Amino acid sequence: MKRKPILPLVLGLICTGTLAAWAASGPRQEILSHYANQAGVALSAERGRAFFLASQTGGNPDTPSCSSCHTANPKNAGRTRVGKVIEPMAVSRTPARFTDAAKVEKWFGRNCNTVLGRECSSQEKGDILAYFSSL
Amino acid sequence: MIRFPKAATAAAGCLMLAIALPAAGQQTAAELATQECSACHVLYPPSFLPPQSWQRITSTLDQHFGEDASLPEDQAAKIRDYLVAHASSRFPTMSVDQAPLRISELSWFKGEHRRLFERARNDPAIGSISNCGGCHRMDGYYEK
Ligand code: HEC
Repeated sequence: MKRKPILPLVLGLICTGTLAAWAASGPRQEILSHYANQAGVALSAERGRAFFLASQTGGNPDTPSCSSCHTANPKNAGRTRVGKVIEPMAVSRTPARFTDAAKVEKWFGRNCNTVLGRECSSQEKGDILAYFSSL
Repeated sequence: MIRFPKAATAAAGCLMLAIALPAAGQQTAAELATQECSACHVLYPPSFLPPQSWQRITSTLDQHFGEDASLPEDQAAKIRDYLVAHASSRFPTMSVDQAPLRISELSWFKGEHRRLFERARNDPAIGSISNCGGCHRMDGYYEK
């Protein structure tokens, strides 16, 4: 009787699983600690929530809030101004969120400028990510 | 035949995968354009606008229809070259500053969609005339 090669399969699964988990949570934790270090204070999901929902001035009046595109509940899918669906920001709904530092910085740069007409501080960025990760 | 222990083979495979995954990020210009443009909207067909429009659009991404859509210059340039190479040659010559920015303001587009601007705006499932996929099949043929 021929034995099925179970061991390589198991090892393969462990390998993919470990890689996937490492690919998701490690970088996000690093991005969060980076902002926390720069801010010099502990991050607050509660402050992040308030910032996310607030109606801002200084940017494009058509999109006065982060929630203009992402909706008031980050567990829901959002929409761009032309109607394209944006996958939920809540990490529990979209596990790949905030695992690519360059992507995160790119969108903070764009969206803070669009909504507030300025850059966001490290504390604001960290608080927002703490909020999205807590949901 | 030399036999490697299975665990060692698997570990080596794992390592190779970890190295190969990031390297797979080499993108063609078409892939980059699709990825970046369609973060917010469908990749509008480059042939709907003249090259000057694409030059104007890709050099003012920080003020993109009221949104900051900036990209690092190397990426913007790669996308610009792609769009310009596939742009329409049927427009009259014009300066970059004068080039149209909105496909939805071209006369043929307005003619074809006359009654549909308002319908698109008022239908929450479509949202705007710029959401081609709200009505059209987006397989390259734009069939309704
Ligand atoms: C005009 C619409 C719009 C507004 C307003 C907006 N966003 Fe976004 N945001 C997007 C889109 C589109 C993406 C890309 C989504 C994707 O990749 O799935 C995005 C992505 C992001 C990302 C990166 C997600 C990731 O996976 O790394 C963050 C962080 C973010 N937004 C935060 C904010 C914050 C904070 C505000 C308010 C200051 C805001 N956004 C306002 C449209 C918007």
